[in-house]
Amino acid sequence: MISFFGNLALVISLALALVLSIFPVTGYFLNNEWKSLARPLTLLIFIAIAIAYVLLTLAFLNDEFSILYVASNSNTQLPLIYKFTAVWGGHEGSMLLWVLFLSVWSVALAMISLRHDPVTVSLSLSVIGFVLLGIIGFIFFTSNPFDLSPRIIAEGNDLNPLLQDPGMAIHPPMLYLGYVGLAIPFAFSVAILIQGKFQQQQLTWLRPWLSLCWAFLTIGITLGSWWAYYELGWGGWWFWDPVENASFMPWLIATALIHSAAVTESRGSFKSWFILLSIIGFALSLLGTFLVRSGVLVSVHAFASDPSRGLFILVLIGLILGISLLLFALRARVFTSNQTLNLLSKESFLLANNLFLLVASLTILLGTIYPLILDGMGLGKISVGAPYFDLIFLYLMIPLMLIIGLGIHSDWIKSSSSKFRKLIKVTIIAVILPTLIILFLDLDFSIFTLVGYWSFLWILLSTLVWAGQLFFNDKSKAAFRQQLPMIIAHSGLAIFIFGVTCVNNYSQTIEEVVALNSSIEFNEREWFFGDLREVEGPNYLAIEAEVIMTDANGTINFYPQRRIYSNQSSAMTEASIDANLSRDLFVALGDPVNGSSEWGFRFQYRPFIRLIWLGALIMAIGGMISTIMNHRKLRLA
Amino acid sequence: MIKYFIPLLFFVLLSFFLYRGLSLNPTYVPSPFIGQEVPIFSLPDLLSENPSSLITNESVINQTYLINVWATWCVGCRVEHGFLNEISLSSGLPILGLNWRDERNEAINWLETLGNPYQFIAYDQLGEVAIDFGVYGAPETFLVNSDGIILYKHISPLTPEIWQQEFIPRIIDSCGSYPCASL
Amino acid sequence: MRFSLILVLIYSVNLWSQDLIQTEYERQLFEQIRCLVCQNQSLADSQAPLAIDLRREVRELIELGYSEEQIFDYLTQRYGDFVLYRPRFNAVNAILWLGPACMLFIAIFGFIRVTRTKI
Repeated sequence: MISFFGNLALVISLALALVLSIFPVTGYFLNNEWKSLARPLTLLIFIAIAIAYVLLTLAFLNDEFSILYVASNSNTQLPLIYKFTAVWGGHEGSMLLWVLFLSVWSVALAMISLRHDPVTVSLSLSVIGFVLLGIIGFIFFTSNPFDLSPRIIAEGNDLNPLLQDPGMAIHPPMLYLGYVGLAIPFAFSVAILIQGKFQQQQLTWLRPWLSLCWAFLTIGITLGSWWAYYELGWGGWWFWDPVENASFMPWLIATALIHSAAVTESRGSFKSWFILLSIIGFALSLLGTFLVRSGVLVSVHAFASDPSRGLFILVLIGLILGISLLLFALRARVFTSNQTLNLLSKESFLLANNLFLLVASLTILLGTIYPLILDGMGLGKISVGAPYFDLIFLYLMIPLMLIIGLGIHSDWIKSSSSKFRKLIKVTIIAVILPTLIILFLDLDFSIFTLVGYWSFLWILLSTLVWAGQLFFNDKSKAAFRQQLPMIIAHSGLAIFIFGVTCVNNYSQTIEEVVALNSSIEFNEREWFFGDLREVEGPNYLAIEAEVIMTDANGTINFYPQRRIYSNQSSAMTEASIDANLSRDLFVALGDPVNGSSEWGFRFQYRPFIRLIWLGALIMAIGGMISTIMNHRKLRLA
Repeated sequence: MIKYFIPLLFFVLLSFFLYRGLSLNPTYVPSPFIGQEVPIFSLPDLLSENPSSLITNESVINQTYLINVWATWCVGCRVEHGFLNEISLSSGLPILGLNWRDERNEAINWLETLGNPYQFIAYDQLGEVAIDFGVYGAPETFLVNSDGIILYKHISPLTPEIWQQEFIPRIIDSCGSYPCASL
Repeated sequence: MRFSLILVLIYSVNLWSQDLIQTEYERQLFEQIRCLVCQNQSLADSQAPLAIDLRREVRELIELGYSEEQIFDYLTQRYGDFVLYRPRFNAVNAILWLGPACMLFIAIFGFIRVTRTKI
């Protein structure tokens, strides 16, 4: 029943998407009233997909194991909240979520922005219709969550235990919102290319969409990093895994996009940059979707390793991007302005910013698919891992940090060099202060440590000095308010850099065998292994150790576990973490040695690791505030 | 101008590689031993009580032969075992078994129950020799020619199809015929 | 009792107490080596039996005085370049290592062309 109606809903949405991708565009060329079909069609598609999604959710809640996808990803014992999140726990359901969100964005676009720019928005919706057509087609024909199981299944497989976790509940939706949101600037840019006209005022209504999707993408990636840290049990926060890279590349481009949009809106230049970056951003989103599901790369995230699905997506991507890039190749020259920029202008700094972010993104792409390229050419198999990315990315980012601090103070068209001369005091403080502190505290350091702290303080001080100037020199504080999101976001970046530098340089990790009722010394604290007991969870059994940590500030208890879920055959490790802003203490339980009186433990000390995620969240908040502020500006206009 | 076509060209190139990637297996690790000599090793004989009875890289010489890495804990080895029994009789090739990280008595029982296709069995309790062979996932099967050069390595259970497609042609090259006439 | 089942599953792994990572040098070395079984983990994190064996092998090599390069050679002789997380710098990987720098130079070159200081 559910299966039938679910499929029906999909078919309807497919047909509607077909109509949406054809009619408004045709209406544009024929200049007839078909243009106005865009909004109603978008709404109808949303309703159809929403119905499909709700039906799938109901199937999970009712343990409808006659549907194969439900049986593969759920179980009668699964806690209720995870039955909701299991809907996107596997490939088919997550694609349905993807398409639901695309539909949500398109409805929002239709409801909010259509009145500001009817022609362009209708065309954009049509482009989105084309994408929807492709993805719904992909779901319906190759990855249908409503497929029935070939035989009767009494009890489902269960959701992967790694996914039974609150972090996993919000990470994919946030990430998808961001990924999918990049379709809006993409559709806008294609619409612009079709029309051959691009007015800088159009960015006024588009910018809130940009900052909103950027904010979601930032939150999504941050959540993924935080989740990997506490759930995977190894204490790392970023692994340069192909799928992490697949989310980071669009983020870099989206960042370049927001900055580029600022130039186009203010000065009318960088139009072809904007269009190109929009296309690349969404291209990387789609590419990310491809990489995870096609079996092309080895990744801890890989959903389905199915080359036939991979081929479908590849063809889809080929069509969507091939057409857009062809349009770009043919039409973009209309938008180029041949102005030369002054070196010290804000445009110039933002151009440099664009370039660094683009090169960084392409570098990550290169590293991620290089093994694939070599293998395809029969040149053997290599691995490109963290050592490569850490090194290259760091070197690329260092000059960018300098540019950020300077660029904040620059003026449009041309800045006077005296502006930058006053930053010399900031530079001196930014360099000397961390160096003195490190020497005073007698800490180990390398040049990278210093560069990290210099970057942090340089960006922070530069941003705050600018904020101070705006605040105190401007009676109405209008300029300050307008720049507030930028100030917040860049401060967040600085905090993020501080967290990364501390964690990378001052973390401590040891592995020790500890006997029951004995203690060890680590990180100037005493760790006492006091108890070992059995614990029962809703759908797992565990061995839990009690470790009591004593230091100058008192006592903290840790309870690391080894868990076995009802349908798994190996024991997972569930780390025990004590967190505050200044440090995380992390204890993971390993394996027993010769019986059960001695166990292997991993202890970690991670200074200021929370600042990594806090910094990123602050950046996202900046993005959110920007969206709200710009949106209110629009409504008042 | 040409420069606007660069993104498109770049994308076409990228798609080409991604398309190629679809037919590749990303987790498969090719062996650097093809064309190289069998690594030197010396291990106890699984079936012998005598600790100085050793199986080495010189146990089989001047013959084309197979080395098969197996263990009782390996599900795939169980799956291919029947086929191994067959080819030990029909192919004319001796098979040297490398018992990987196993429990000696269990291994012996396993063979008694399921049949023993091996002429020699080396007992690699610690897995050191397996590492020297670049083994990462049992079962693995190596084809070695009469000069002691590794001609081919197959990872995962042997099937008649694989045997037909990959092994028989190489055996014919090396031996002159299939089944191979043993000395 | 179900609990004895877990105990059996965990205990059957039986840790080698010498398998724990003892030094920072070891950790950094292991982090550069890919586990061939759990291919998403480095040798520092993986608990696969092959990883345990490889860690033991590498420790023996360290004791014998092998340098980092020699250890990497030892591993690549057996498993190919796939086993190293940091790609080696050779003709085949040249584009990988030099590519970013090339892109950066092109970008800087383009940037200089576009920006002229008006005096």
